[in-house]
Amino acid sequence: MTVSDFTPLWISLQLASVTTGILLLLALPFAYWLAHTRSRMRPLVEALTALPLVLPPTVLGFYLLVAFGSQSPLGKGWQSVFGGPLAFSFEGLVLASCLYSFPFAVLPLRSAIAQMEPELLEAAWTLGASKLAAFFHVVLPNIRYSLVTAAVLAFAHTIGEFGVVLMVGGNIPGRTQVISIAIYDHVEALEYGAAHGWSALLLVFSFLVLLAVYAMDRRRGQRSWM
Amino acid sequence: MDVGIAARVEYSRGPRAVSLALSAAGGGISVVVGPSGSGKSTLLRILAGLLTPDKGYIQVRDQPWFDHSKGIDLAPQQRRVGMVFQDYALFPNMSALDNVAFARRGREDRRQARKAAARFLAKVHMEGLQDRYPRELSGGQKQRVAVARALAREPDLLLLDEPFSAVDQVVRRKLREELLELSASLQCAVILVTHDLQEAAMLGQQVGVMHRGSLLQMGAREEIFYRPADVMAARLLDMRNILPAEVVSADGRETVVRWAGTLLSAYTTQRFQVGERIWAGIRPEHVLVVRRDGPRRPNEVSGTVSRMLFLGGQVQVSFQPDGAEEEVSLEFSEHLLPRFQVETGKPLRASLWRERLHLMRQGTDEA
Repeated sequence: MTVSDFTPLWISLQLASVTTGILLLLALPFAYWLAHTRSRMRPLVEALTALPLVLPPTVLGFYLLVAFGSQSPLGKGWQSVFGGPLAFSFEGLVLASCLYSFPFAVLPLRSAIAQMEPELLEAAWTLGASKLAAFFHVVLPNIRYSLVTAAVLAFAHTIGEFGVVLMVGGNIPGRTQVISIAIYDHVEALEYGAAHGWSALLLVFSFLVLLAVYAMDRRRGQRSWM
Repeated sequence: MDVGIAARVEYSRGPRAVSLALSAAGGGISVVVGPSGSGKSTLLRILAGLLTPDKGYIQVRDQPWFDHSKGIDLAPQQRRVGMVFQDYALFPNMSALDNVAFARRGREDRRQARKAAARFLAKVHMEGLQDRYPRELSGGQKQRVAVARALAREPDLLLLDEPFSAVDQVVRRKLREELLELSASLQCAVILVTHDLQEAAMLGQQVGVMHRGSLLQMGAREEIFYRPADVMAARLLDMRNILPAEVVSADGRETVVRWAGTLLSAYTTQRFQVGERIWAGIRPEHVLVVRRDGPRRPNEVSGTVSRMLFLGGQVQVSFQPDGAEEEVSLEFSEHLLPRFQVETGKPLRASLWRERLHLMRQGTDEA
């Protein structure tokens, strides 16, 4: 008994890609703000950002399920705009994954931006570059490795999520059944061969991802993450 | 048109409050010297527009860059300012050439910008190294690129923040000479801040003494080093011999004071009251050794040598004048040693050079 249906793999990859793309767009300005702000709200925002790191995924999943439900304002709003429910849909999964993997995208970027000499930006400004131009020509190129780290970690973390997906996405083959759920399903059905196949795949994938991140850190002589 | 800068700023946020008025003419370097933490970097950041003062104005080339009363506050991008940062702040992701060409963005197309950048790099003797990245450059080379980049902006005001602190002494001497040469060809006002008095004396056509966020004195180099405004400024300028004295006579040209029982005469136009307690200051290099068998000199004091220090070509001698509490420090060229027979523990005759003996009051701020 081995893996025969590859749909969970495609769903996992799709979910991780979309989530990673959205996260990078959101995390970049957010990390920049976090690294530079002198706001008193910073500790609060930092704590909220890091929350998914320590929270049991079922807790996050439970609250998201409530928030996505057809009785909640978010669920209602979504239903009226897109015509379908947010809970137990791929879109709902993406939204949940974004929240769940948010710290993995933000933290490497924040530390990279904070480690940059502040004079680099000031130099760019005194040389006539607008804040936006300075961001693209000075900040981005200097945090490119951390950008890769952030993307890889967010992607890998999303591939590996289970609790949140189960709560928010359920277990709908072909729509919300990702690899980790498929494994659970196979074990429940005592299909150990298939469970082995998927598990080995995730194990190797996760290991390679971490290896790549740490190897990149070593080449730069710098810790970008944990 | 005035090509210089005139500014009066008050700034009270951040670790060091700054409150001062400053003006510098175009051409030649104005050096602001002061101990670390005196607010020098804050001052430069204010002038560059990186910090916004609470009050005051900054006017460069007759253009207002900042005017609190009129609500004018140009962004750094709008001020034509060239800034050389202490650690140079070269963009690590760009070659030397691209670092300099960055200053030409928006002014001309990429090809022209790189051409201009090469020209500015040649000005600082960096031809041939233009494709190197900052990590492949030595400290001195980085500094040159940073100067070229600031100049490539064709600034109306050039600011240098301790530009020689990150290089070793040999390179430092060379870079200072180069900067001096370069500054002669510049039209704009140049303000350099440093904690190094020697650097200030060497580079500054005009020197300002900064202490705790204010300028104690600003003026021509000789004025500042030979005639500090008060005891505070004299100490910061390392005048070293600052002697308590009492005015005996004053006629508006020559003033005679008594210090430790000795009468000292100084040429000064400053007005002092007879009986007033003031301070007589003189730099060590202006205390002249008198030959043991020579005739008596004006302002002569005699005493015993207590310490000698050899500073590579120069000798620094401390001696204890008879009847005085203070030691007097003097400096002269090492080759004069045999002629004057100066030795530790032996008697010494010295004359406090009348033209350089400077009389001053206490001043408001005591260190």
